[in-house]
Amino acid sequence: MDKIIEILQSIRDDVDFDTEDALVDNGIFDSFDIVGLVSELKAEYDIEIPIEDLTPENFNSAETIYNLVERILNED
Amino acid sequence: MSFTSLEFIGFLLAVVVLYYIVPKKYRWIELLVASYTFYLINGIPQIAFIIATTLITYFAAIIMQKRRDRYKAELDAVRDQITKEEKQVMKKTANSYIHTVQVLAVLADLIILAVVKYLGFVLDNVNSVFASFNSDFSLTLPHIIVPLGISFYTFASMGYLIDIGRGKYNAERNVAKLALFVSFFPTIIQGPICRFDEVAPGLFEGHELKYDNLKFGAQLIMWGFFKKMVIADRAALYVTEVFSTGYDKYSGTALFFGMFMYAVQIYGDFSGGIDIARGAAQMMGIELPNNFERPYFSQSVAEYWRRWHITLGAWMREYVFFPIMLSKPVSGLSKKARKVSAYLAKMVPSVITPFIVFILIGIWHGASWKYVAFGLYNAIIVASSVALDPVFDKLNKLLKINTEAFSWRVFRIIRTFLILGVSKILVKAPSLTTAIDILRKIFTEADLNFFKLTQESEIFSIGINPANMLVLAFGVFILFVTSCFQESGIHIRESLAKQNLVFRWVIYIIALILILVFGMYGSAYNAADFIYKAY
Amino acid sequence: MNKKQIIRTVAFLLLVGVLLYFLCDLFEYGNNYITKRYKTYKSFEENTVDGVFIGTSGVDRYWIAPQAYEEYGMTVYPFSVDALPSWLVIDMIKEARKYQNPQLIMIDIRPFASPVSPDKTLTENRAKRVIDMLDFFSPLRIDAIKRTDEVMTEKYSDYDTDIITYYLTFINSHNKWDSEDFTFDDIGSTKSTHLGMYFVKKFISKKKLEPFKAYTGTKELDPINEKYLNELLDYIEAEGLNVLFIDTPHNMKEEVAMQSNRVCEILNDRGIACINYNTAEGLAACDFDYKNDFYEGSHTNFYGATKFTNVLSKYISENYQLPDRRGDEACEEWNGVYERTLKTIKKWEKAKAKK
Repeated sequence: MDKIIEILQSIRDDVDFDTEDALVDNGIFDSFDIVGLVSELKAEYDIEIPIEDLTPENFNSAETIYNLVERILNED
Repeated sequence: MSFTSLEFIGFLLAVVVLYYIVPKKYRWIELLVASYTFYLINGIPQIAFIIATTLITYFAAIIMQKRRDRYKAELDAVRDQITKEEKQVMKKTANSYIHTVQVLAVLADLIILAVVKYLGFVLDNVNSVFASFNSDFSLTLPHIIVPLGISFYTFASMGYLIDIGRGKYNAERNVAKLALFVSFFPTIIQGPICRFDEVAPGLFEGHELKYDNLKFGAQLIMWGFFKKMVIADRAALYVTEVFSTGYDKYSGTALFFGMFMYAVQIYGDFSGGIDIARGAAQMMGIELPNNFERPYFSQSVAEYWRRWHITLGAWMREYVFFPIMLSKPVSGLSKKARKVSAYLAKMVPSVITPFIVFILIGIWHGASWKYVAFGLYNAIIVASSVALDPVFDKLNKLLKINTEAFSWRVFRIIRTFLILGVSKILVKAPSLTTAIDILRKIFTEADLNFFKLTQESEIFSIGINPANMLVLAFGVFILFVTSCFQESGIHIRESLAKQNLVFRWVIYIIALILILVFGMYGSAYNAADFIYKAY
Repeated sequence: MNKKQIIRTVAFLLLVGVLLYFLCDLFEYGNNYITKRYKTYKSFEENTVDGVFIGTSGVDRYWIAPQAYEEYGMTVYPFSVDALPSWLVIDMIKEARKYQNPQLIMIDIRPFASPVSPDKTLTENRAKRVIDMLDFFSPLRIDAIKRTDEVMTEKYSDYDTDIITYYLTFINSHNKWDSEDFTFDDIGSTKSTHLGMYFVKKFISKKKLEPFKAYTGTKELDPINEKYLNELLDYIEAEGLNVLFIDTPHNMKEEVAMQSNRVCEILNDRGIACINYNTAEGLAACDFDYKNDFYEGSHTNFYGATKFTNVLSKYISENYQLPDRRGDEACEEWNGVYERTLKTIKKWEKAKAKK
């Protein structure tokens, strides 16, 4: 989880990712940021995040992002 | 059949009443019949196109689903007996087959759209190339009437195909149900572009008669009528005149004001139509996605495209932007750029992709060079704002600008509005060359006397007399106030429902009076057709 | 949906119905004075109006009811609508007979002599004046709408008006809200204060004209006019009505004058009384001063109307036995109207002279 937050901080250093839970809905993260994040996550965890998972629900907070990564890692 | 016509009101009433009479499990069939009836009323031969797209989409999805099911069954049978690498191979084989079917089907749907909408444009340009070589050779196309809503239903179908290709959900087994998704009459005129998994439950489950659905739906329809008939059609009087081929006789300021009027008109017209569509669906308990979120409050062009024609932007993001940005070629390019600098690694894809997306958005709007210019213009703005982001950041810090301040936000809103105003002129002007000339006039031929509000003032000689201008201003004011409420999170219809009966009824009656008296309908007016109807 | 919600919905829909009715009243097609004239007629006590003069503006610009009453005590009312179409004359008569029992019914010939216009919007609007004037729920209004729809369908191949726009005429007239002649006086009953005569300042203006020509010879009528004239005559004969057709003096093209003559010919053939003031004798009887007595070629002004009313009321007094209603309590409101009329005319003349 800390690693997730570290990656997020490297994209936007002015957001408190411990508390922010509407990253996409509040327009803090736009599509470009999401793409950047996905690349970083791919580099860090060696996972492919399918495009249909690039939803506000999955990317609104550090926690949901963490859950998404966990889920993909545990998939067959 | 226009949304703002007596025929449509009568049609909708009949459909709603029948919906609740028919037993719950057949209600979706009633909707299908209603949708096809609606489509046929608008033109009988064109039904062939929507049926073609529906069938192609249906069969392709079934084929993909069958292959995926087979893959899953085979995998289950041998799951514990094979290695991870072998599993990967199975997956890859299945996916590549599915992917091929998906691409072919999407291409087929797209070709139908392209031929109907764009072949004429392409041939015109080919012909002018030949003409410039003094050749007599020219190609002609038989006149095809553009089928109603082809851009909308084709995109909805392609989205469905791609979703099935990705395995997001299972293909619809019932061709009639898929046909309903493609042809659902509230969405056929001008969207919203729906995702199958979002609307399917609503469409196919019969809904119980709920008072709130009828009420809120009817109110939303009324609000749509107000925006279209009182505001948009009235602003259209000025806009059509000032951006006609006679634009030359008007001052630069008149044209500048025309830009505002057009912004008002296109918003009232499009969002009003969407309200009518969503309200109609709501009356039957079906929820359609929102397509507008106060777009003129956007602080950047990128934000604007998240608030304007939301479903188109979302479609582009899901099916064009992300796939391109995350595709191997682009990632590869990005890696190569990383060798030069990290900044470039981020910039290269972020600059190229908007061009692709926005040019697509541009030509989605129409087959003309001015739409290409429109797309390019938006692309340049968005791409450069991404590329120059660090520069602006430093500038703000240098000038000690408080980016949280309300005044700064207002500045950004106005700036965005004006930037987009230019793009709107590109679309509204009769042609690209006139658009450029209009822009030239705006910047060079100012005439501040325009704003002197006397009887002889130029502002009242362009289609709208003072009385109508007043009504328009009043309408825009109401729209503005409502938007401010909505922007702060207040849901108008729900809050209204909480007020006293007398207050509510007074509001409804006043709204009805405003629409009936000041609406631009009846033989005295040529109501502007929905601008997006032929898309 | 529970009971309370159903009641609320129904109540709201009723409220909307009232609103639509109100809007129809507010945005009727015709001019204010037409409705005022009509509402005044409706307001008279039963059995006080002994004569009605049905027709176009060729009636109310010519017949000064207060003058005839002042001179002879006859209560003859101008029950007219501008450019009344031929197929609605019968409805006007029926409407007049709903409220009163006139002994004499005078009918303007102009609806039958002027061919139906090739402009379908113009024709439709002329019918709307009558349709909007009549009571919203009256069967005659529905009849007028049906007839108009029939005529429009028959005559115009590109007729595409929704019949609902006749029932709810505000659909096409609501744009009146920004026109100068729209006022809130238009709501409710506002009675004419001069017994239905045309009473606006324009009425004292003068246009210098050449003396009218009296054309002889006849021409076949517009088939629509002929059809509805015959229908009207059948009705008159069936009901045994006492009628007098009149063509008030005005400047006409020869072909219209010839159709007017044809109407008189038809009437004579059927033994129905008719006076054509556009013949040489008729014009001589009126003794007009063509520089003084008209505000335009088709209408007399106040001065010409005074002369005409003299001539016609004398004719009526000599040939019909209309009671002298002076002293009749029920006709109280007819008293003193002529005096008031002359006073206002003098005021207008003074104001005009100052300019």
